[in-house]
Amino acid sequence: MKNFIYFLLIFFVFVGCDDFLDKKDPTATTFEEFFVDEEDLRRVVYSSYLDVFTNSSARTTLFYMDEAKSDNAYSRVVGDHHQRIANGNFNSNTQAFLYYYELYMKHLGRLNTFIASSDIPYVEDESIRQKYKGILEGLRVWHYFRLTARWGNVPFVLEPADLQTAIQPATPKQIILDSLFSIADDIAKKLPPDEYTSDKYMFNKYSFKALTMRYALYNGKYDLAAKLAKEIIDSGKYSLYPTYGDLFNYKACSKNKEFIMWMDMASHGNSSTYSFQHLGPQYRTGAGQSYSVPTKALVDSYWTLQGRSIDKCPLHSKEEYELNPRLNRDPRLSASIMGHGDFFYGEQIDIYNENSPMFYQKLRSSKTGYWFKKFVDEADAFKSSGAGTMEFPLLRYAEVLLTYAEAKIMMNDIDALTKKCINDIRRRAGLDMSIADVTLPEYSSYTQQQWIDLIRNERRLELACEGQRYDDIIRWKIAEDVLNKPCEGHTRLVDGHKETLKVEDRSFKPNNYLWPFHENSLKVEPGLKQNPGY
Amino acid sequence: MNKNNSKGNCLLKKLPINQFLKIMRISIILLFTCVFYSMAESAFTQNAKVTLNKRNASLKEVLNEIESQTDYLFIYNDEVNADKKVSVKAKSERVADVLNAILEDTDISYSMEGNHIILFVNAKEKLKNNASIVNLQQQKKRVYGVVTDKDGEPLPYVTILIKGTTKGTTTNENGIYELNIDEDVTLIFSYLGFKDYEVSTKGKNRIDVVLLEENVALDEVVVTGYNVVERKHLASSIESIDVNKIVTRPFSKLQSAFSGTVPGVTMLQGSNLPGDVPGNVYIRGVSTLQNAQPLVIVDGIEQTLNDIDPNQIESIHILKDAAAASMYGSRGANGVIVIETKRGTTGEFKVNVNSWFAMNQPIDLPTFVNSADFMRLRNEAWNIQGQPLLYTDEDIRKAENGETPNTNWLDEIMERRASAYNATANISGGAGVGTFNLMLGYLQEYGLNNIEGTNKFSARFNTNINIADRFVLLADFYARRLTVNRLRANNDGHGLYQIAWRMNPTQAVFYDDTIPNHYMLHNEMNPVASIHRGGTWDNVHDESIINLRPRYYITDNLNIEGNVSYKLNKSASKWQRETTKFYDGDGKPVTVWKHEASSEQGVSESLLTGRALLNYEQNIRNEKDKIYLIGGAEAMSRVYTDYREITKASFYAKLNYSFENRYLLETTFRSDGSSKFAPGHQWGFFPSFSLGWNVHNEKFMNPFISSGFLSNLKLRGSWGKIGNENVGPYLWQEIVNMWGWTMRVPNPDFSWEKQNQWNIGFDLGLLKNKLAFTADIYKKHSYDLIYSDFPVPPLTGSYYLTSSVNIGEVDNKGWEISAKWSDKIGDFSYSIGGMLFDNKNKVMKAGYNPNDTLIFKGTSDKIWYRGIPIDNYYGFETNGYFKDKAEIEATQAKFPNTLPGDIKYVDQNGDGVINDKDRVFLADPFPHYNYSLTIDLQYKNWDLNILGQGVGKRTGRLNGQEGYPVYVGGSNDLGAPRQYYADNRWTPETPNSRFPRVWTGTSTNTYLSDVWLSDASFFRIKSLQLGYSFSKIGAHFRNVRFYFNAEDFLTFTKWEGLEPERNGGNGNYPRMATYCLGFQATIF
Repeated sequence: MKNFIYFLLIFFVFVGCDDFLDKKDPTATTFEEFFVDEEDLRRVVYSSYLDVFTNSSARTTLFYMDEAKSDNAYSRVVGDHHQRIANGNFNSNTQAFLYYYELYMKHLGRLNTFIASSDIPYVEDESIRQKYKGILEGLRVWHYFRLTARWGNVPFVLEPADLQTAIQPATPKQIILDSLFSIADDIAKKLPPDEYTSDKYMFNKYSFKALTMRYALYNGKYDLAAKLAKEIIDSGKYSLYPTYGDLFNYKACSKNKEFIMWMDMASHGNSSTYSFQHLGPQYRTGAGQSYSVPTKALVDSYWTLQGRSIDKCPLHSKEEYELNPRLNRDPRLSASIMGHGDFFYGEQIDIYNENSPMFYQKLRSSKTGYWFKKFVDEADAFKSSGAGTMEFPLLRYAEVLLTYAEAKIMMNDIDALTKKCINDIRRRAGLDMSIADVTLPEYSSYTQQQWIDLIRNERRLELACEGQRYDDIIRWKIAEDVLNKPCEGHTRLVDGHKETLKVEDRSFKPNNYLWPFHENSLKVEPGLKQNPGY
Repeated sequence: MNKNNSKGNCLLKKLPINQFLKIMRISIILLFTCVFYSMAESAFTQNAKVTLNKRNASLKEVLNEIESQTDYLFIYNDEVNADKKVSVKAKSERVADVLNAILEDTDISYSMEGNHIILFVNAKEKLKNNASIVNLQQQKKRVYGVVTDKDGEPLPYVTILIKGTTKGTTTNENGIYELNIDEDVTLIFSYLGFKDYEVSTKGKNRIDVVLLEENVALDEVVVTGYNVVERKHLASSIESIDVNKIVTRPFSKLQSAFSGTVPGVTMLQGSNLPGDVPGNVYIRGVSTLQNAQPLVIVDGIEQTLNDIDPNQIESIHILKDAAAASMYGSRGANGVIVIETKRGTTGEFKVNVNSWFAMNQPIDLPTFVNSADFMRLRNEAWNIQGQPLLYTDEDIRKAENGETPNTNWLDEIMERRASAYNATANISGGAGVGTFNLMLGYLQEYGLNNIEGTNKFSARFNTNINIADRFVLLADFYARRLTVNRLRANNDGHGLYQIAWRMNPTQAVFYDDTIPNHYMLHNEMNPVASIHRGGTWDNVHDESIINLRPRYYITDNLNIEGNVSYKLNKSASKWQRETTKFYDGDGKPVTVWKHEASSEQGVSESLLTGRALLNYEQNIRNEKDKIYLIGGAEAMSRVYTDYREITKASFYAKLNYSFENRYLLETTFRSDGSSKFAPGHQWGFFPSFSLGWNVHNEKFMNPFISSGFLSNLKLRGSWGKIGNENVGPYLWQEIVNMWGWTMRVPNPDFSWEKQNQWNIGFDLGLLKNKLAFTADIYKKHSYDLIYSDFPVPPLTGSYYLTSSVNIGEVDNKGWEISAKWSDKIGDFSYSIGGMLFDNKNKVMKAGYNPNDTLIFKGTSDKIWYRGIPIDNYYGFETNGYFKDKAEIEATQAKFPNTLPGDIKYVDQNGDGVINDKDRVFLADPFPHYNYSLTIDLQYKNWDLNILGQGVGKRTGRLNGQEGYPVYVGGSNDLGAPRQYYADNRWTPETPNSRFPRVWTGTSTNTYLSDVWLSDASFFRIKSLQLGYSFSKIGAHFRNVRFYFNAEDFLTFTKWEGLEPERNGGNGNYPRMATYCLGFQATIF
């Protein structure tokens, strides 16, 4: 009995020790423990890309899925955050706005911390440290470009923040941009000029200049855009790949001199890619899910083979083109899009056959009756879950040419290089250059507006499904027009009447050029000011 | 606690101890006088008188003479020298007086028991005569007495055992026993159908015992988990549930027992899914953002309600107010449910069996429109939306005529009637060395298809081991295996119904062709194929407990108790599926469900609890006052197999003092430390005080008491502080993952949730307790509430952008009244009870400042700011529906893409935009004015119990397909509208309809608005039970009872959804009415 009491006493004395209650997460480490050597630095760079730019399975952030925010495509899943932005059914409580804002902002917070601590890890070769630091700084700039494009004025902080200092008033967009372009210039100077043999997805001098070029164009800094484009052209490091369609399947996606910013296999740790699953049709037992599908508006925007728009073609009526997209069209259409009547895996697509999984009312079918063919390689059709090894361009040389041309056109300084840029693109696309050559006399009478219309449409077709369209319609201020029309699909004749599939109504109000801050962000950051109209 | 081991909680009829001891010290004569005196007071008439005149006669002769003159019989053994010569002269004197005279100056004593008079040699006298100590020690002691029931009837054949041995005796036909013992021992009295009674022989020779029947009202004592207190000494708010009533209701989980049975306790049941928890029990509202379910303590160990078989339960007590719950300190803020399991009784070996068989009938099945109407409604929607129509008039005609399918998908998937079977056996017995109770339970439930079901086997082995006279070990063992069989596809049990709801009647199960098993897939789904081809998913959940409670009685009033318990939970699952190929309508392969077979082990959890407790209980001031005092310490360690670890340490003390049974004081101090909180913030201190006043014991109440009008009036008041720590571990800590992400912003000040609570109440008993009435009002102020997802600015660069902070304050105010009238008219006894209670919940602070507003990351349908309930519907007010395009054009404040028949939202601030600022608090989702009604009738062998339960006010939300005409949230428009929706939808002809138009795709109609809120008040017959009892069948069956029970079979409600205890949804396993037949018996 006494022993028992002693036991209890000993037990509770032991229990009384402080360390009885001192329990730490068995899987956790601290910041100091984590950030030690060069590999940690690389890991930070890698995950900074992966989380926002190169995750091959994240449909919310994949560059090709971004297309579905625009009039070019339709996204069928609300949770992917594209559909509501395209059809206008959103407000300041829509989850998408919290998701994207927090994603960019929290990465900025993290980048600020690591850039400020970049001297801490042990690195054998100091230039490696500088390279990684430059890349991290480049990513920071990229995030701010995206943030200002969507929300306008946001807090502009380049130092690590704690709970108090993380709450900052918004800085005007123009002030942020002015700093960004000057910072970007410094970063480009620090970065190595050549593509890396491993981790080629990371910024080098020219890929970062190309990114800066893109945002110079977006923000109306045409002289800077043209200047950067010219530098890249003059560097001679890049060229157009001869066959347009092959760039977007296994024939050339990994081996070309056209991709400047890569989303290569290393950028997501050699995990699978899912572009077939995301964009492809459900065919037999394949994995296609049709998450983002092209619209009639995009299909109809493709030039005729002669480089004309379908309503201005002397050969066929607009209705003929609408009813038959295979008729006399820019080869980029069939390289980028397929639909009713086309062949997939040797079988003709019939979207009106209720027995077929491609019946347009079926879940995994396309509600528009069209599918993207870019990044959809038949080789992936029956791989497990559509997993492939596709490599993607986040920015390619054609965009540099288009940017040079557009910037020059906007400055109304249409020089020979401008026309050459357009011609290079059209020629590679396979247009009938006897008519489509913009140096031909037919084009000499073009007004600036006509040139603008031409370059904008050229850009739309060339870069279709590459995530550029939403930014383009926003900066061109045409979203009020193109996103105020219903989203439509395939057109056919039913009892002699033209019947077009209608997917949904869309609406875009003049205040929608800027996104709302989510109510949650407004609560958490009292310094933010809601954008007008929300 | 072994409540049978009574320390004053049984009615003990015995000689006053002090007086007795005094007598021993004086003289035999005095002793005899006193014994005589006490005998004279006993229930037996002792007026027989004798006349004797003997000189130098043998004692035997004299006794024979007395026997001949009276009904008395003398009993004595060889020790008594019957040949001893005595002289006596008496004329019509009482027998006792005569005996006193004869036996004066002898070593013989006597005892009168009924008409027996026992003679024996008095040990004390021997001591007087013989100074030898050796002799003394070897001298046996004799104890004797009579055992009766509470009405004074002697009990024959009562077993009397010496604790810790196998030795003992029994009472004779007259309830009299005598026993020789070597030294002072503890005696255990046991008798079938009665509670065991233990008493020490120390200082006593005559020990009269009154045994209490087993089924005497539980109200007498209250188990608070650490000790046992008489209810009349309690000043806090503690309720109990009548266990006898719940064992015969077909519950698969114990949660169901809390619906409508206890004032202040709510439980809303949403489905009857086998193996699943039917609903959560809440005590006095919700006061936390964390898990708000009460703490459940079973025999001192934290467990969950669903683990426990009702047949193994001895008592359930619900500690509602802070004064009661404060014994559980940091864990008590949501209320505490204390459960004691049954223990064995000394004496006869017996088996209690209870078994029932139940059939279920779904009561909440939706009625969807038929296929022709479905086509019409789809066309109607497409027409409004300007989309091409898919169905031609011909299609509709064919559907109307039955040429094309009209599938009722729910009928297709409900393959059989759901049923359940339960069998339990409690095998118990005991002897002086201890008792045991082996409780076995088996519960089998069959779900609505041939795969789903669950079974539970539990075995509980409770033993009391009397190691020594003052040392008892309670060693309990528990093992439970729960097997849950589900479909591999949709393994949550509800998924199958969600898919079935998303089918529409035009779709068929199979293609109409010759391909075998040619399932038609509809958007990749076919619920019938999910059952037959989707494979199985089996789970097993094991729980085992060892609970050791050594208890040492230092004195009768003071004991020390230790408790070491170990609980282990493990789970595993296994799933498998065979390959199935699906073909499209053209016979081409379209999908393959591949072969799969795998298994997985869940994270298992072990809980080690150690406790030491000092328990003191004493009557003082000549039994006018009573004190209960406990103090102790406790340590808990919870370890998971992923190596998460939670530890807790506690120290506590509690005092109950009853002053002359009039004024009651109860006070508790507890201090808890938890590893979940930041260093320096781990300890919390939780005191409580309560006062009670037994008004009926006051002298000035005597007129009311003696007139029989008032039998009980107690006023109670309490105040206490308790805590809550229902959060995950490590939330305060800096956690950086392998990619350099700080997962959340660490909070070095992270600590407990606290709650101050007061309670005022009274208990009233009128007309000899025929009418019992209890009322309570309370207020709980909870503060430092934990929000583990408190949003932080994104520039902090943390991954989840949250921090765990102590933020927010919530008030819960409520009242509870209950009343019961019981009476008996001849063979007919009845009681009618009712209760009514309400709780109002109000946020007092939602952030760092009183005016802050907190919004939630996952949902925008609720909000937190001062003045509204903790859960709420926060959305738009509406103003009818747009009647045409012109009206839409003319309205500035509207959502984009609005069409005729869509909801017109109210622009609260008139700024021309419908946005967040136009949202208002619409209603709270809590049940209000909860009430219940119980009727118990008993006539001869028949008994009938009815329990009706209702909620007077609740606002339900009609979301999902219970409300909307299509499935919302996926990318395809699935499912048919309910007929109720179709009948009440907007059309140009019915512009003032209940619901908006039919639609497909995304819609502006699905925002939370008052359109989708509806009255969910209800009244339902929870339970109706009819029983018939036989007191004895044959030689071996006693207390046999057959019963029929119907649960939830009748509901009255205006709710527009399907089941008023649940909000809308996209389909779930149905809610059932249950009909059961059962049988109870005790076997010897």
